[in-house]
Amino acid sequence: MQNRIFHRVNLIWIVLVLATMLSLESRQAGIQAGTLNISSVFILAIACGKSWIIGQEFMGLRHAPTSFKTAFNIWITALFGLLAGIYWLGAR
Amino acid sequence: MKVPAVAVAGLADAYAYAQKNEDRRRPAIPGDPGIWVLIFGDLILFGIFFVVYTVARSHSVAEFTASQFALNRTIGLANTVILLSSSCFVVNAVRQSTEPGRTSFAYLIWAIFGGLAFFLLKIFEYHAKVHAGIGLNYNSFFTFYYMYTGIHLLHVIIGTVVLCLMAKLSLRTVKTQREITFLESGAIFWHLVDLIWVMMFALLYLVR
Repeated sequence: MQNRIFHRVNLIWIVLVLATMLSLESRQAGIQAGTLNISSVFILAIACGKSWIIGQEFMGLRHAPTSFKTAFNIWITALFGLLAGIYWLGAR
Repeated sequence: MKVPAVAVAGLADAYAYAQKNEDRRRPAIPGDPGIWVLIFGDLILFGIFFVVYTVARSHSVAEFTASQFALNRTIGLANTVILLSSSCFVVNAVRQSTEPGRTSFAYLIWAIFGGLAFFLLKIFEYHAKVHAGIGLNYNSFFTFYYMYTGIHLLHVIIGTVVLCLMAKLSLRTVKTQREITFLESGAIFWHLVDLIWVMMFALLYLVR
């Protein structure tokens, strides 16, 4: 049981590092293809996704009461919506 | 027949461990409830910071994009991987500290190294910027950069001190529930530091 948890945490670390690399690649691809707006929103989505994973898996919200999970999910969703929306409107 | 004291202590440890595993199946907040007030307060505060930055950016896209080129993305990436790794060590440390007879000292020392490495890289980055004549009042982008990363660096310093206290506590073979709660609360704070940096790295270093 403990080994399984140990491997799960390490697996999540690998996913988070790979997601970070994907953000950098996405930025580079956006510059080359001239689709910076789309790649920037994608980078924001990846960052919010990584934050959600950190909250769920590292901070222990996965096992927390529903009210805590809901509050965190609302925060992350609202943040992504606002940042992506303001970015998109500013880029037009 | 007299039962040895060691066997009694072992049984008590095993019972406490089984009880903890039983408790884990029920929804419960890790750490002290008070730490979650701080966590959600910080999340709201940094959420507002990020929105204000994005609004300011949308008014001067050219200036922000040009200024972003002066940032060292390699250091930003290294700091992200360092904090993610440090968080991973802390998760393993807390997991081990709740098991009877196991110590999480080594994991916490690695996590502390992570905090120190982040601090040193940030100071190096600040020094390079200031040396190049890019200070707090250079332009709007760098005012945001120094303010936000400075407030975050303060969190890193506090978090590293808490990790040192956690490492000292982890050396005890038998821990009270209060001490385990302290370890969990400190860990949650460190994950918050990681979470905020993940957002900051994307916004300041990557989004163009």
